[in-house]
Amino acid sequence: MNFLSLIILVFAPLVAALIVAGPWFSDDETKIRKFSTGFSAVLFIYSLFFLFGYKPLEKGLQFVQTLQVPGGDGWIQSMGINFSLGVDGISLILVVLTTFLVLLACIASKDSIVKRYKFYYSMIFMLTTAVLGVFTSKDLFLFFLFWELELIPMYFLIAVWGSGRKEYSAIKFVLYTFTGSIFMLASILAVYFYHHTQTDIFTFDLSTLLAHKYAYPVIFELMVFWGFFLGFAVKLPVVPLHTWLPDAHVDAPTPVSMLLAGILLKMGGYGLVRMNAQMLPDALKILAPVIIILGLINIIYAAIVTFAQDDLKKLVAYSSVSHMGIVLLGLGTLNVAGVSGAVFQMFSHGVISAGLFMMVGVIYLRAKTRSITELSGIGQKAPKIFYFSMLITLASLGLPFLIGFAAEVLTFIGAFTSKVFIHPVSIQGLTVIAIFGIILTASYLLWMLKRVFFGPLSENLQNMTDLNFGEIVVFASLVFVIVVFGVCPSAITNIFVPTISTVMFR
Amino acid sequence: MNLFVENAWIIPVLPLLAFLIILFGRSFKLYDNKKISLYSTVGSTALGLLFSTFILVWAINHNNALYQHNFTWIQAGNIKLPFGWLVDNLSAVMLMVVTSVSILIQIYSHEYMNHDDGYHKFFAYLALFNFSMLGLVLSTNLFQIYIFWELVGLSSYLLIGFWFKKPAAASAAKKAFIMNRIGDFGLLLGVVSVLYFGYSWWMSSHQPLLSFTALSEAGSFILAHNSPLIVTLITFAIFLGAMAKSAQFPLHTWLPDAMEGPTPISALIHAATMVAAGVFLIARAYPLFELAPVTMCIMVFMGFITAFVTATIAIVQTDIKKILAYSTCSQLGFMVMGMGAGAYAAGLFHLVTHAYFKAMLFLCSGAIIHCLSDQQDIRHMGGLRKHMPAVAYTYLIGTFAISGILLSGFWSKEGIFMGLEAGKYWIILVLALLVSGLTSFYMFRSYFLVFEGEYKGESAPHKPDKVLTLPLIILAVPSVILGFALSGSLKCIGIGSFAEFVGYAGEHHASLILPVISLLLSLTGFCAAAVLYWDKAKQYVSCDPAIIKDKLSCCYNFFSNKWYIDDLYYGFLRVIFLPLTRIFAWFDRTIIDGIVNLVGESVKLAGKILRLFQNGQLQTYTAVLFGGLLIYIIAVVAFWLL
Amino acid sequence: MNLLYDLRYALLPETLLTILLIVCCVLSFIFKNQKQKLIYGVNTLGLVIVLLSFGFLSFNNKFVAMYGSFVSDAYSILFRILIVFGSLITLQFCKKYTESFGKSTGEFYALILSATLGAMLLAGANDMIMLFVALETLSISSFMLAGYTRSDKLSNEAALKYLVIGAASSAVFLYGFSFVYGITGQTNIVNIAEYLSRYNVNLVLILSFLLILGGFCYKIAAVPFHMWAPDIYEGAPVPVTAFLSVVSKIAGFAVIIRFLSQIFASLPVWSFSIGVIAIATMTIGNLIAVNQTNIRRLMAYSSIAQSGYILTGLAISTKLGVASMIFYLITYLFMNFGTWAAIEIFINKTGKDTIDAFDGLVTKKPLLAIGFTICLISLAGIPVTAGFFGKFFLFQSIALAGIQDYLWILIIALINTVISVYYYLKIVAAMILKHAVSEFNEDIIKPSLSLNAVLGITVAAVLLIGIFASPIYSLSKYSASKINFAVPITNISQKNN
Repeated sequence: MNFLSLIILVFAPLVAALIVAGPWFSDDETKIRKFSTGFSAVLFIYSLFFLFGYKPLEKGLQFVQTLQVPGGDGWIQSMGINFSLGVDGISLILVVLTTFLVLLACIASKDSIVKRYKFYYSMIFMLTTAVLGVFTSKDLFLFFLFWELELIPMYFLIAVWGSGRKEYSAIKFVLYTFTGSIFMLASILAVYFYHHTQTDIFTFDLSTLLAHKYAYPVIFELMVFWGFFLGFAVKLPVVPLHTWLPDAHVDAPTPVSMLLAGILLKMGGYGLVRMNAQMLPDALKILAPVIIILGLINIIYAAIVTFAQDDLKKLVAYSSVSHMGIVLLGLGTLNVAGVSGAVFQMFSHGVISAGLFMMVGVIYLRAKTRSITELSGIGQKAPKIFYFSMLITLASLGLPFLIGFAAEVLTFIGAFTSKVFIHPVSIQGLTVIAIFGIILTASYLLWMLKRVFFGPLSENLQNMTDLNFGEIVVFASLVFVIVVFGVCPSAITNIFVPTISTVMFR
Repeated sequence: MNLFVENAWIIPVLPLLAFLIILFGRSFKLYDNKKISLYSTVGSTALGLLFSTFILVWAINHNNALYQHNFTWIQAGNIKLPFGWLVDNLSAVMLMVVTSVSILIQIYSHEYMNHDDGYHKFFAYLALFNFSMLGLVLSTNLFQIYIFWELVGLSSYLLIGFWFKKPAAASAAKKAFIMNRIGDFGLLLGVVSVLYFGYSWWMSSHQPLLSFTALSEAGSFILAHNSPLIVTLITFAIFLGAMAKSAQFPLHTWLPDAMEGPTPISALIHAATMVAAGVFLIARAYPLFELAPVTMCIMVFMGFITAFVTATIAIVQTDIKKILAYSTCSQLGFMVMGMGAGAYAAGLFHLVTHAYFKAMLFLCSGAIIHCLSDQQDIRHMGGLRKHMPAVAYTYLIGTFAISGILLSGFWSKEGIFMGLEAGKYWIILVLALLVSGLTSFYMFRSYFLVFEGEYKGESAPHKPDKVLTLPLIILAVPSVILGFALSGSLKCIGIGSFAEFVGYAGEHHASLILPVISLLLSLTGFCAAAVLYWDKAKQYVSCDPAIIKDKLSCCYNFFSNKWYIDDLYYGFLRVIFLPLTRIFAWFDRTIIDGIVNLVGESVKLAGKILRLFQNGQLQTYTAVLFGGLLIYIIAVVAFWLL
Repeated sequence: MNLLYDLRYALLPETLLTILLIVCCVLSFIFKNQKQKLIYGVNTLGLVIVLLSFGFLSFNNKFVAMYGSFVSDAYSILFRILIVFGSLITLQFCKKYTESFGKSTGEFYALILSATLGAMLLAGANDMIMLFVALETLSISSFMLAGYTRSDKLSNEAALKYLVIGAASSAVFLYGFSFVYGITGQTNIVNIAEYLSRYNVNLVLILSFLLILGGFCYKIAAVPFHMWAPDIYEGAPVPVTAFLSVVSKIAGFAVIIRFLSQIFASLPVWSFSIGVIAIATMTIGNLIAVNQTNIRRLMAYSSIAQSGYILTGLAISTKLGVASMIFYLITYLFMNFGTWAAIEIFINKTGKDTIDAFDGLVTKKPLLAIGFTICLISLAGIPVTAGFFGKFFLFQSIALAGIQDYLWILIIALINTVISVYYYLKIVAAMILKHAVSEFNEDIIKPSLSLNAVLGITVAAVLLIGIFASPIYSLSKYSASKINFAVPITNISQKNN
């Protein structure tokens, strides 16, 4: 498998972006789209090879690669900045998820993107590079660089092709993330500084910093923890830092919403698992109760808010927030089952939420409205939309044999068997609340299904068309993943659970 | 024999294949012939039936034999969630019941749904249901049973909402799923806590996690290391699941609404099999329940309340399916009561007999509705015996059976009463006997109103098709003999008692008092119904229902409004919950997001204020310059001095 | 002999520049207002030669010239190179501008050259007298440049303000210097530092430090000496603005770093006082910039804020800090010139300088818009641009100086970056998201090749440094190593015993 190079994986999209953007490339929409789709398909397949080449039971990062930048041995060796990439189980599944969803997003862009194609696809690919970079960085500086790099394309993707108060939402997203990231930067620098004071070595190398021998001073570690946490909490998002999300999702075009919910939120979760859990385990031990309670607030609060939404897309957005609470909960449990559940939840939610936003997208494209009160009886007019949407919705409410279930159950089991103690109630008591969330989730999702798809057909939908081929492809591939990994989740867990149990709980 | 047992997994997998065949066949438009859907479904079930028969025989021959096979479904750390199939007497019986009932109903549905354009969809759903139900029956452990628990819920959801164009059906489906979700919540909670409180035991013993066979030891471990309250809570959580699925008060309201689904579905899912899954779960988790007397007691009470409440409601219903639905709730109440009272075998026995005669009754109603072109109101029926004798007589058999007059229902109910007696639940016993009287009253009421007297409907009823009546007649057989045959009275000719077969045989003291009393009460119910609704009886004693209705109008309204339980729920949702959510949403948009925007605005405002100094006036500039410098110097010096 | 030696090894570029200056004056006497192109060409060529002449100076060892009043070491050479390079770029701006008024323009070039000369001397000044002379040379030429267009009221008013505030700050500076002289009786920086290292801190010393710092703040437009900037930036001709915002600022930093750090870094109030100014500068700059509608004023406040960021590197008084300051200045040179080039091109095309005039520029002039966007993103400090590394190195050095001590500076600086992102993106949004409104009536002034070249080069540099920052950074680190901070007396005594 020596043809597998993370650097190629990460930078190929950037090259593609340049190819598409340049004046040399044709202005014809179909040509551009075909090229982009084809390219992302190749990228996806390429990333699958990593999946096969990956050896789950080996410790540490794999496929490690360090780029030699001319003019500086390493990159900026003198300050310990290296351009090196590597993946382990956790990041690998997210990488594959990314390439997968990018491919689907390209296919889904056919109908929902109607202007400035070159710009659009180049931005999509730039975003891909940034996200893949975040997931594969083996160097904290590089991690931060990619983290910031993702802002610009996302800004344009929302602000140019969005709808409604798109510019407001876009700038809100950027400023929010940026604000979070400065605290993250402070923490990165703090860790870097402390490593230097301890070992007299300048290094941003992730694996070195993760496996630090020395112990941080408690206060210091807690502050670092909160710095990282703020950065990631904005992305995840954690209530009350979530308000950018409904705006951004509602105003973004469908494919972008898919990517936003499917991948970008996962950057937050990934960061939490990597930095907060893996680098600062002691702080996490202290703060686990807080994390768990925040997770519960996410689950319940967002679920309750979801009930009151009339905009279909807002409803889905808030449900995302609610589902992300599971990730927090799992992280706080401090045991393999819980954390595995959290990571799995990231993956499953990535697929499911993409599907839900696709559903909203196809409905909006036809009904020209997202207001649930104006929608009714789509089920009888457009059965394909109906069945796909129903299946994805059921997956979202955690139906067994669909991908969402295993993740949630693992998290709950982890939470229930966790040793974390929260005064005065035990964590088990709190987990009951979390499990109660499944009732709320089921309620608002089924209520949505009933109002949108069931019942008599509303007048404004009389001449509604069913899915076209491209949309079917998108839905079908999502559903395929949902069902296959729902029936045999071990196929995925076997990749990242060993990582968690060896690395995180060493 | 072992061949079948060791490959029992095939039984659920076959319907799954049928489902997939129909799914892909139809979605890729590979075929359009109804026969293919029909045969794939029926064939899969038939093979299943064959298997189950052999398995049952195997089980009978090896007494208390047990075979299970597990593999790990998902693993995280030292938590391995198992998955597999378990064959013992209980599952053997259940397999038999499910496959036999469902194959008849599938045949029936072919005629019933023939002209519905959702024919293929219907059979796909049926196959899916069979897969889930059989998987549930064969589950080896609590976790697996939870999985299929939700899947049967799903298929019920799909089938209730089969005609989702109808708003009523849509709401009913949603309601069913959500109410069951409440149960699932309880069950999941129970499952996880069984794992948690017995964690060290599960880890030390190499039993597959949560497996039923190890449940008693785990349970005793939990009891040994925790307060009894814990065990009570765990069992209650599990019981909550059973309550939702088996439509126990106060979670019973979804079942009557579920009658919006096609009638065969009401027969199969909402009478014979799925709703009984709750009782089955209790039976599976019985080792735990035995450790929690409090929960058992609660079960008795809940069972009784359900039986009573729903019976009273059934009295005043005019929709034939609704009557049967409420009677189902009531009968399930009896089963739970029996389970709670310790009459484990009797509860299951009633489950089995009930499965057959209630399925039959529903199919009868279906036939009637079919022939009266979707007329469900019994006030527009009457005198149908002449038009459809087969249906009439089978319905009559069913009525006798359920009322506990000599036919199968009689025997199974006896066990429950004896259990109550043995458990010293005297008051409950008396009341339960009265309820069984009520049962026979409303059942005969429905019979008389439907089949006797004059036909009151407008469109002339047409004859039911053979395919409709055949399953009725077949089902009539077990409804008649099953009770007596398995009551243990036929030991002489080698047919053992059901009680001994499923184990936990309560001591069978042949007291004649209870049977006689219950029989008398049932007959009283019959007489009352006859006096009120049977024109032949009217020649001797005449009494007009209307008068009684007026006399007891308060009760009548109370009952006909279903004890206002639904109104309570909807009231809560409309008046408390939804407004609450709106408040939360407002808070989210206005307060939290408001703060965010406020920060942005305040930055701009600060900029505006600072800008005032930049007014182009040179004197201002110099003032700022020197003023600023002065302040700055003072500040620094102060910092230095301090 | 000695003089020649100095001229050869320390002051070669200055000498050549002086010659160029004379030549320029002579030329403009000879042909009054013909052959402008020739004058322009001569100047450009001359500056290139000056730039090349740095090759004859040794980068590695230190020459003290003019009886200790001027020092040429890696540090000063780097800064002088930057300055010359800056004014070379400025000349490219001037070309168009001078053509706009048909009169003799030699003097304009002459003024720029003299300002450059002043700046260069300032960068190497090692003696208070020399320093002051250089400072005034730079300032006075700048005043005249600022008000160069006699016809333009705005320009004249701006120049006047600039002059008055400049005078005031010079006074402040001199006042502070008089204290130092009073204490030490020395004018040579080295001697002063040597004397003060044995001198106990007292109020007078602190006072003098603050006053001198204040005097320098004027050059880098730091609070509270920043008030001139917006009016100048708006009023003065763009070439001059560009020159002031880059070249004279670089010179200002050059002297601040060398002079203050060698003499006053030992003061207990050092990092506090500089940190306060840094924070105040960046915060006020950013806050006011948020509401600006005129691109020039916005850039004025933005460059004020930038000075604030750069100053933080000095507050921590480490060589790494200085290194990152230098690195930032280099990147700043490119991105700011790029920005001004873009603005100048735009103004030449439309004659407008409000932000909403930029609406939909990308559809009309994609390359211009993209180049401008890259410069702005770099100013905002978003990867992959030079600005990102600039800010990152600054913050990194702050952290390494002891994150617990300088957390306050770090956090406030970081928060400021967020604010700045907002208004930089505002311009980007105008260019890329909005629909075009301002008609591009082709060319009030012909598109100038040189300006486009400037834009192209700067953008390329911004991107290149944004990817391969390492060489530049090591260069800045090397020249920063020539700065030796005054150490507190306590430390010395500790060393002794």
